[in-house]
Amino acid sequence: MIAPKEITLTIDGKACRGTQGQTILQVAGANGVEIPTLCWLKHLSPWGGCRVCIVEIQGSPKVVPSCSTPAMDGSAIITNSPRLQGLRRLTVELLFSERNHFCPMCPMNKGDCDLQQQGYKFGIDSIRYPYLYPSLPLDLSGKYLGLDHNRCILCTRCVRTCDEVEGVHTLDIGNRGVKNQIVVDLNVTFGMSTTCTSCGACVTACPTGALFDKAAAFHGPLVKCRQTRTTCSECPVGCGLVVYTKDDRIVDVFGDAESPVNRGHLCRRGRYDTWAEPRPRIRQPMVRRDGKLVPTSWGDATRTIRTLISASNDWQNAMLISPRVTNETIRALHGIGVRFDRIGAFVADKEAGICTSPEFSTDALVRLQDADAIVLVGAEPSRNQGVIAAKIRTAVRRRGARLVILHSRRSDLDTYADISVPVVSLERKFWKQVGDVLGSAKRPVLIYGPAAMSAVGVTILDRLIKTLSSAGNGGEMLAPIQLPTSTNSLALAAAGVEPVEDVSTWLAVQPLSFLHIVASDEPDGGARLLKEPHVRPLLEQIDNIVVQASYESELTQLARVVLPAAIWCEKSGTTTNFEGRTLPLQAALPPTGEAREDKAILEMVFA
Amino acid sequence: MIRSHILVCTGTGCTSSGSLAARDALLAELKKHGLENEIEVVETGCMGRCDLGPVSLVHPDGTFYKNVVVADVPKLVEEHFLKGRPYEKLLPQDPKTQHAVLTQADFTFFNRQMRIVRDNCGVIDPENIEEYIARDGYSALGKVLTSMTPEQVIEEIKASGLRGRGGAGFPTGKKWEIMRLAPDFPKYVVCNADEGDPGAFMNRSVLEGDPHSVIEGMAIGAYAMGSNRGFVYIRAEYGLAVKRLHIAIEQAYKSGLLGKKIFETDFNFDVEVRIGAGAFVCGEETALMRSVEGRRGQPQPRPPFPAQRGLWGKPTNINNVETWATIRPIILKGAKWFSSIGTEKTKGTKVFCLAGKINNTGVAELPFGTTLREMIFEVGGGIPNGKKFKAVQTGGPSGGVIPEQHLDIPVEYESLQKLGSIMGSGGMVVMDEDSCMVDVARFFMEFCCDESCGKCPPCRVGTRQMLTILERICNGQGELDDIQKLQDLAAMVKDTSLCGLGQTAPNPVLTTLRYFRDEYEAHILDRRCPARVCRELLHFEIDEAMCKGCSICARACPVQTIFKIDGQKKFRLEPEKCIRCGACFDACRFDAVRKTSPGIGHVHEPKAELAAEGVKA
Amino acid sequence: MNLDELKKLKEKAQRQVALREGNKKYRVVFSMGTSGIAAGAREVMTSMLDELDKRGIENVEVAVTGEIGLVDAEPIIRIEEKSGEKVTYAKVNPEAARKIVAEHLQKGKVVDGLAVGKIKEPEQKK
Repeated sequence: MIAPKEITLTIDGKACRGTQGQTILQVAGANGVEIPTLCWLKHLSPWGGCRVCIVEIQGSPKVVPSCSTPAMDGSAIITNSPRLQGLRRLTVELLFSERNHFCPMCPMNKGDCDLQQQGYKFGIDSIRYPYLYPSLPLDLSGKYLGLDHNRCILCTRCVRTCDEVEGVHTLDIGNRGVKNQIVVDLNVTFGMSTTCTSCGACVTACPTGALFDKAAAFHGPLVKCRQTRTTCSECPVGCGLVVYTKDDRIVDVFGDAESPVNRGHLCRRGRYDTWAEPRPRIRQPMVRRDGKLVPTSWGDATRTIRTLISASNDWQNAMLISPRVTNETIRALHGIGVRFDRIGAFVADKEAGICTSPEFSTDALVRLQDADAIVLVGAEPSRNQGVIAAKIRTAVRRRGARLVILHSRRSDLDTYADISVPVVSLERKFWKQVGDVLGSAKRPVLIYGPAAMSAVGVTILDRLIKTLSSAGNGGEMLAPIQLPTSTNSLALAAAGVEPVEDVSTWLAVQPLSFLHIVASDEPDGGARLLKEPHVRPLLEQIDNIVVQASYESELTQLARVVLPAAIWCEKSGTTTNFEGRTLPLQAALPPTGEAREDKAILEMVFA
Repeated sequence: MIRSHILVCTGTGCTSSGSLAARDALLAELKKHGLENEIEVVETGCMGRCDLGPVSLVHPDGTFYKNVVVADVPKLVEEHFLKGRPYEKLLPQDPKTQHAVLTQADFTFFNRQMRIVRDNCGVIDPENIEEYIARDGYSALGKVLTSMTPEQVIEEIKASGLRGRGGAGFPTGKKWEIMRLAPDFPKYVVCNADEGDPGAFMNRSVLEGDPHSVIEGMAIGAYAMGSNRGFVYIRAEYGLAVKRLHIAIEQAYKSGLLGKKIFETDFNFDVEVRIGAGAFVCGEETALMRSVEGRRGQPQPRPPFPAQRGLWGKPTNINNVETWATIRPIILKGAKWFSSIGTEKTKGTKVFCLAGKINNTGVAELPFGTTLREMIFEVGGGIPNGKKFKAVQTGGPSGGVIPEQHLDIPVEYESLQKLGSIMGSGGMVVMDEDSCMVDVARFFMEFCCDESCGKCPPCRVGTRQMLTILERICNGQGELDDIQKLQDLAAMVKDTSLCGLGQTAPNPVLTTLRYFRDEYEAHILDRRCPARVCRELLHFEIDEAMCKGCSICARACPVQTIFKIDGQKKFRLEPEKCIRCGACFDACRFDAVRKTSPGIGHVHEPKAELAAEGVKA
Repeated sequence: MNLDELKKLKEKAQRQVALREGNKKYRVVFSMGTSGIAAGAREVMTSMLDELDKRGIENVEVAVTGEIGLVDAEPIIRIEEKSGEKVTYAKVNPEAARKIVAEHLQKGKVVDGLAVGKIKEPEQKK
């Protein structure tokens, strides 16, 4: 590839360098000249609508938007003339006159919004034109999102984010002129939307209080909150989070724009599910006395467990551990393993197949970002790994990548696929179609998930890898991307902890007298164990069960001792994502009540 | 054998005044007299005088008839076709001489025209490709494909000096050359038929009257620019034009003049019609392209220009209906012939739409360089009812108004721009002394405000704010600094808006302020509307001397504020309850109701703040 | 379609619209006033049109006019040539009309027995 031509131009008299194809705004930014912007966002396509970033090009009477105008070699740009200042000021003044932008009653919680900043910048202390203030509806029907049209300035940052980042294009603009309004789907409410994934990216992009997180509304400005950067523990992608806290509670959670994994984007699970709806927490240790769980101290609980464990034989002791634990917790297992006959990881449905041969797929996200053909086998990113689903959608919709899906359950991604068939029903016709669709792929990516781990699935995978390797890659063997479902399951498997495919069989190998279940902060408190066939009666036969969990569940009803575990935002340490990156966890809050981190609990109880 | 053709205009204008029913009546009547094998009824496109509709033209004698309604058909057939004499009742009158005129050639409205684009309009049956071919149809395409290189075609168009008729006047040949040199493939050509100016229908009249000329022009352009696919973007409101386009395209395909291997050469060309939902802004080419793609029609910043990245990111050339229709005559008659018409800078003819307070309204094709005075007073036949000319608005709703003192400028792109107006699509709205210029500015601003797509705040909010100010001035609530505020906003909206709509929307305000500032001042300072248009500033009273006591005004009054004077056969209007609707004024047959705009001190009490400022009543 | 085919189609089509161009060699004017009609001018015209059609003569324009003034000579037809020559035929019956077509309009020979007047005047300016 030829390196882009270098260009030189002057901006406000300053000599600046750039490359051909860069916009004036990009060159100015790279050379330290600040141009005010409003509808522009770095990762979105330029819109050229707000007219705040206008500049003059010497020799032309027109003003042009710097965000979309390419910088020309040898041109002279003026960014700050009195004329431009006047035009920008009047533009922003008109925005203030258009709808309700009174700050005191705004749900906006980013503290000082972009519009407010512009007002300060241009010294707008009064509005000379009549306030138009149409009375517009407020949409609070979404589960997590609120939309107040009265505060919207129609910059379309949300529309473009929805289209270009999450790739669902739920939002767009309806009507014309001053009657313009953001519309959801075909002008329904958020609650009625069939396409919105509640990823919350639109709220992040909104420069005013028009789009807001319902759970965070009126909780005060975010600038006054403590910010903690940590890693999402909902799935193995490992997105960076910024957690805003005040008075020991979460005010809001945003994606970390600096994270190399998600670059600020999140899915519903990481953005809202973990905090926006209350879940009943276990606040202190409990032991069963006279058939009832009663609160007690850590000391008492520890003593009780030690008594129970020393009363049973090592070969009758076992531990089931959730993959949501930190790397540090996994390492701590080495020290205490001798106490147990076996330690098993209770992974997600069918995930054991993947964890038996754990493979980290280096640079998977970069490859996905660049792929021209994507094959998805037995993975369900739109349910489990929303950020991956977003990348697939945008690859298809914006870059025209081909998409082949072999699924076990249908999802919204099928809409974008060239071929979408169930894993089990593959005919000869399918392979011909696959050849047609993927034949010319230069940068194919193959992602497989737990549901691919069947006899048929593995055969198909082999054949797909061969097909794709011969198509692109210059004859090199294609490295498929393994996409597990659970957060740290690959690290847990790599540490030698056996993934449990079938819990009842695992339990039934020999009768147990002591079972320690580390459910950590599983959202259901580990209760999904009970949903598996035959597990409940087997558990009921075990005399002594210790449940170490963050949330109350049916499982605690079976426990002799219950230990309160810290949740995601109370944990510190590291986690490993499916690419093999070690990502930091930083506690944003102190543990609730008596809760402690898993590692600390295990070391305290079994040391 | 057919001895006579009666051409019945079935353009949209005449159709709505009943030409289809008249056609049926004609057919029936001719049959009744056994003339059906002698006289042929031919449906044609617009002849340009929709105000006289339904119009028809009889050949070979060339008699031009107006108002051919069903009731007059029997007599028309009897007189003209049986007895062989013109049916005088349906002959139009020359507004100047007051004489009946027989043929189009005798009519100043027609005989001043020079028909290049509209050469076939009203002459051929637009739904019959053979009639088009009879008038050299598709021979320009044949010539180009069999004997010219694409470069030669572009050279010819460049040499002709043709400029885009869509409004901006960019040299067409140059535009084609840029497109030809664009390195990407495939390339698309588009015909912009999204004519949206209120009262403008020149493009519609061409598409309804001669759709093949546009298709042929596009095919020639496509050949010259290396494109194989064209789109006609047309608004859904133009039902008849859409229908005739579809028929024309189908016939062209059937005759092998579209599709593969045209004229047995390697040139393939396909044309598709894309229907728009009638948004004014979709006439802007970037918005148009988005609409063709099936997306929301909103303008995009340029660059990238359509010739670089247009439809689906590929090089695209967009020309107006009139531009495409001008290609064929240039190829047939040569660049030299074409460039001999018009002015130094602008060659050829332009189709104008004359509307408003003018005798001959309709579409007229005139060479560039014709003065406004000639257009209005000769072709247009002057102002009706002996009223005085006040101003002409050129270029549609975002054009400017031009007053009497500039009427002698030759019309071309640059001259109009100098006066603060634009050529636009060629609309001419004439205003007489009864037009209030503030109200005119308000009217056009309302249109632009309604049609703003809303993408950029200067246009979305700026036009709305200007409208708000204009409304309050018209309502007699203008404030002293409103003129300044209007000027600030107008300059900002003009400079800052993203597309042509916003950049030109302030023109009516700016030009009325420039030429008729006194009217604004009368509204704001005196609370007076000199043209007696702005309702809130009017005062109605009944002149007892003129009143005949017929009571029609009292019956027309919706608020019952007109009373009979006791003991007299006279009526009186109590102004307190009067809502100034003007119903009494319109109803009175004796000119007894007076409409005045006396200003403050007469009707309204002087406003305290104005009195304090020492403003004289 | 190639260029030749287009040319042929054009020639064919031109015949259909030629009426509107007004460039015919002959113009046949029928006196179609009350007396003309009473004397059978309609039938004469029908037979003439029929004959023109039969012979495929294209170069003739047929028009009607009001009373010419010679009531007892009706039906009267006048044939105007582009050159300015005018020939008037009186008491024309349908058979005579066919003869006029065959002789005058096709061969350019005035039918002497029927013609009542022959004027040559300079071409009028339009």
